[in-house]
Amino acid sequence: MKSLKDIENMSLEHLEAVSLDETIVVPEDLMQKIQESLSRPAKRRVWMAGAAASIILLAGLGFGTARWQDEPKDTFDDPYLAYAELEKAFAIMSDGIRKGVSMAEESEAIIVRTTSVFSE
Amino acid sequence: MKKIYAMAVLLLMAIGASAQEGRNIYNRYSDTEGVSAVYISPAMFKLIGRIPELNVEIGEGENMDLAPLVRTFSGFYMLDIENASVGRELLREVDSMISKGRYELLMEVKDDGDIVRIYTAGNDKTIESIVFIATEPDGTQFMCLDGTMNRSEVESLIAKVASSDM
Repeated sequence: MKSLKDIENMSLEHLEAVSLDETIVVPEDLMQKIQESLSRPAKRRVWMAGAAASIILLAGLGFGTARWQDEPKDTFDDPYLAYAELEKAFAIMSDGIRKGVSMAEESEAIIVRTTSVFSE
Repeated sequence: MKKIYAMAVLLLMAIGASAQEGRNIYNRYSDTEGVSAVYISPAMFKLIGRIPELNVEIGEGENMDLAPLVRTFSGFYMLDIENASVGRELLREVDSMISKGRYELLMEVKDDGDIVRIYTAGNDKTIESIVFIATEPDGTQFMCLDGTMNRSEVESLIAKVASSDM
């Protein structure tokens, strides 16, 4: 019996000769068997993909609902007021950053002075 | 194939959990006595982003249009706590949140009993969250800003703010 690779390597003329050879008997249920073997894994794949999609959808819905339930209420209805509050927050953060940078610069100056004293 | 599905579900769980930290802290303390709370939702950020003039002065004679940056924000949580014991409790909770490893310390300032810490979470290109916590003898302030901010833009803004004398 020829393997699939042997059949793939056969020339077109050879294939045509085989197809015209009436001594070769084709099993009656060959077509049915081919169809069955083609449809079985495909059905399984569709089923598995459907199940996976359902799980992901349910998980997504679950997380979405949980997030929606604990979503706090907006403090402001007016975007201008919300932005004003945000500006205040940025100003507080900026003060913290500036304070940190100025302290780092002061420390750097002390380090430079100390280094110069030791190096003299 | 099963591994791919499991990874997809885990990814969903991780995405859901990642943006929850600031909100969880806000939800726990926002109704506590002696706590002022401010929340700005993603929908409100979209509206703020439509305000035509969002120019702010970030240095001497230098202005910046904050609208593009504001549109990348997806949540702002602020708690202003006057009660010292509630402030200490919140600080412990923030420390526990940070110890999970998602956030990294950007800056810490300790000055005469005052402590300011700024943490960021994200990757090399994007900042997903900024947490600011300041403790002073008369109170504690917690701020958490979530979004998908461009890291280089935020860092250059911080550098400009730091070098300005406003």
